[in-house]
Amino acid sequence: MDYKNETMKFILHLLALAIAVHFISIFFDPKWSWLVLVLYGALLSYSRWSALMLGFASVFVVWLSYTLYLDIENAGLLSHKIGVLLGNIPGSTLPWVSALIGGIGGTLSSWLGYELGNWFR
Amino acid sequence: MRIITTTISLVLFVLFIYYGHYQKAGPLPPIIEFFNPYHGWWQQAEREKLPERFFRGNVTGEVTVAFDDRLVPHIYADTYEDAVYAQGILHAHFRLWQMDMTSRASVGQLSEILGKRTLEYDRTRRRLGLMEAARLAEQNFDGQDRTRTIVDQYVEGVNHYIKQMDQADFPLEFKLLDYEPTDWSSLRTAMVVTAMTYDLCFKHEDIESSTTLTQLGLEAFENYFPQWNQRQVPIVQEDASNASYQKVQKPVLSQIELQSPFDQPDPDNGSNNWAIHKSKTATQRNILANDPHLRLRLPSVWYEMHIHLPEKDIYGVSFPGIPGIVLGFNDAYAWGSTNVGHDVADWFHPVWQDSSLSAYQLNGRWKKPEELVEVIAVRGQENDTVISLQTELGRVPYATSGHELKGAVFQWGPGLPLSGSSMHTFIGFNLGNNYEDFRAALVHHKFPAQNFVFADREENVALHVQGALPIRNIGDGRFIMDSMEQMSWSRYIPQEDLPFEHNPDKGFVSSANQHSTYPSYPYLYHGSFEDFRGRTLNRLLSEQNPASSASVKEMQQSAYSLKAAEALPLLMEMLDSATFVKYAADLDGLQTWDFNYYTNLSSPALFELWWATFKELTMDEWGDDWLPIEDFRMIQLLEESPNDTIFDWLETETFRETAKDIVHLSWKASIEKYDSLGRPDWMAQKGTYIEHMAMIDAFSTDVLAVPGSGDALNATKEHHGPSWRMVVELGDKIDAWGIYPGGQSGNPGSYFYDNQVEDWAQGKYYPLHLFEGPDQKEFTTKWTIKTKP
Repeated sequence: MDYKNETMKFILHLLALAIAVHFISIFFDPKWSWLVLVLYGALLSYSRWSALMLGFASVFVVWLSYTLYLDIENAGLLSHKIGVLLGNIPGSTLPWVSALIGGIGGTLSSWLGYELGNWFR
Repeated sequence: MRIITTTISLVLFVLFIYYGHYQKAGPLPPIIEFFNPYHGWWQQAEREKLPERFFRGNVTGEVTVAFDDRLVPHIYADTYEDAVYAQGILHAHFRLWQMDMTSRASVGQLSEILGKRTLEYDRTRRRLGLMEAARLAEQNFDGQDRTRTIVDQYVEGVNHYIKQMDQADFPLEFKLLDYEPTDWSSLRTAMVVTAMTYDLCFKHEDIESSTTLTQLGLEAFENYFPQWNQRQVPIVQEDASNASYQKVQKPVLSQIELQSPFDQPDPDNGSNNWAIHKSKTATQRNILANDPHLRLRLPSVWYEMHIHLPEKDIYGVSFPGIPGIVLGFNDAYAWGSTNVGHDVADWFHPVWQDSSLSAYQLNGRWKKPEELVEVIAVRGQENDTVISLQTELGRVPYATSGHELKGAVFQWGPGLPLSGSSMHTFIGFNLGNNYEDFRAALVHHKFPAQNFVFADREENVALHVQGALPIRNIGDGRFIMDSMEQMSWSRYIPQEDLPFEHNPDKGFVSSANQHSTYPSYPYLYHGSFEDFRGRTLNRLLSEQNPASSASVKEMQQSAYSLKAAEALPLLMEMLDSATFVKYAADLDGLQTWDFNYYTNLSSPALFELWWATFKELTMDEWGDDWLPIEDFRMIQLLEESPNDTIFDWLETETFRETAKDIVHLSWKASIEKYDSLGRPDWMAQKGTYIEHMAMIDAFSTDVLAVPGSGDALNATKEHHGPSWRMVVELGDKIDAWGIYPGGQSGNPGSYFYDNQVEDWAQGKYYPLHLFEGPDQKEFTTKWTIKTKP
């Protein structure tokens, strides 16, 4: 039961964070999404592990979904060219590369938030 | 423990933000900025369908821009001024980075973006006074009432688009090079004009000619570098002028030996154009054809568009950065152009009072030069400074350094104050109604001189050599001149004496960058002229009976080279084939070759290699900085003077070779080289491909299977070729076809970046439609611009 609740909680937090990251990135400077994750880590995260995981997963999922969508709509035209530019990396891997970079940013942001929040918990 | 984990997480976060957002990753922009799907390169991964857009701007009535299936915009506006406002928005949306780079490269502002690697390039541009030439071009927009308004409207349209952009919208190259677009201006439009002017009329050989002359002496120089090719068929085949000006006299020469410090514009910048009178066509309609040959690049040099006004339709191609349509047709006539090779760039030495260049002599009096200090912004380091001098005789690019050209004056036509602007001309062409309007617009065009071809829906076909063609005070402009106390030139051939043809008896007019007139033309002129395409074109046109749009397209695709037809039989005749039994099949191939440069053939590849080797061995005594002998003269020497001393080979001191020996040696060397190259066909050897403007391979095309050669009408070379092919048939109705190697979008992530390249390579054409209104089923997307409240 606890396991189920934890999972539900994780999914709900993930969804909320993913939606926040996506819309902040669209309507404001994407840099603000790091601040949101710092705040999340500080105020709402319930463990270091969840902060790290949710920070990573929320940005990873959003960036991966969005880049896959853009890549499919574009028929891979640009990702192929950027892949060649980066040393003949297959274009189809670039959504994953982008998502990984974003995920690392998300992890570092929410981790910092969590550690800062710890001072006040 | 808490302190440690907090500190580590803080440090990692700060490093991530700093390096991810603010520090370049080697040649790449900051990594997070670049890969962020909301602001980075992913935003340029466009869908196939262009989204609808709405703007409110400085237009007097509603403007609708309807895009067809090739993304060609059809602009429906009440006035031409409204239409160019929309054009500004379109150019900015599709080609902003190209506009930015073209304007910067033109006048020497690249280092501000690219850092010290382009500093030497910028310095040279500044020394030559290209910024000053752009300023003069900008001032000349004022010459006609409407031109300034039109340029201002266009600039406002560009800036309207720039102002509503955010980082996500920046073209990909801005992101890659990590900088942001800045406002457009009429000066930047003039800088784009200057870029094209430089490409088409900067070419000069004064330095190389003087060096060669110093080494060879005047007699030998005149032997190897005759001013006139006896086989040439000029553009204007009868003396159309009544001018009685006397030709000039002996030059005063500077004895020098130095290497030119300047990269010359591409020597293959040229073009074909012709118009066939309706009396010679199958449909009884006049036909006009034009294919300007420029450096092939992506984004394409051209942007195609249609402007529909209540009283006028205009269709053709425009230059991103410049308002209006440059080459095309309207509902009354069509026009096109090729470059005129007349030399409008001279070097000469004035008389200086001392080595510090404190004063120069002008009409017997000493005058002080003005010091010009140009500051060049360099990214990542301190500004650089270039000092030149301005005299009343011209600009002194090298004033302070120990350069060999120190103190020499450079006089370049577009750098001189001279009223008249190609902008007046092209706006006039766009809006004209008949031949008289066309001629009235023509007179404003000064630089670069062009052969303008014309055909209307009535009786008229014409070709005009138009531009400011100097009448030199001393000499002919071929060499650096000594002890000049006056400008190299201060007058130009009068407008009424410029060569032209109007409805000639032969039934057509044509040009392919060859000499404008026969030597009987009373004005001396000198320059760089083509020797083979023009003759091929004239022959093919003479054989057209009747001509049709299909036969005209075939002519544009002709891969036949007259150079090969004249040179190869001479080489084959002098070669002792029996000595090369091993290569009998190659020699048979050459013997039966019809001189068409098709991509799957080996003979064109072999011949070009042989001819290049033959010339190299013939000119073995030539220094790197000497002027090379032109192909037509080399063929003439081979044919008429096979015992000339030029064929003597330096390596054999005791034996005196003739042309026959060099033919033998060059064949042996070239066939061995051909083997070592893996026996490529013509496609592989020529290697035509279209390169990205910033030479980014990933944004360039692969090698294309496109027939032709530099001397064929389909003048394709490695990076060079027909940048726009247009055929227009005019009479009771207008039918037109065109294509350029590229696509309407400058974005490498667009479906329309290079979508026309394959069709262009295969010789296909697209119909050019003058759709009457914006509600056509062919339109895929519409943009609307409404008046700002």
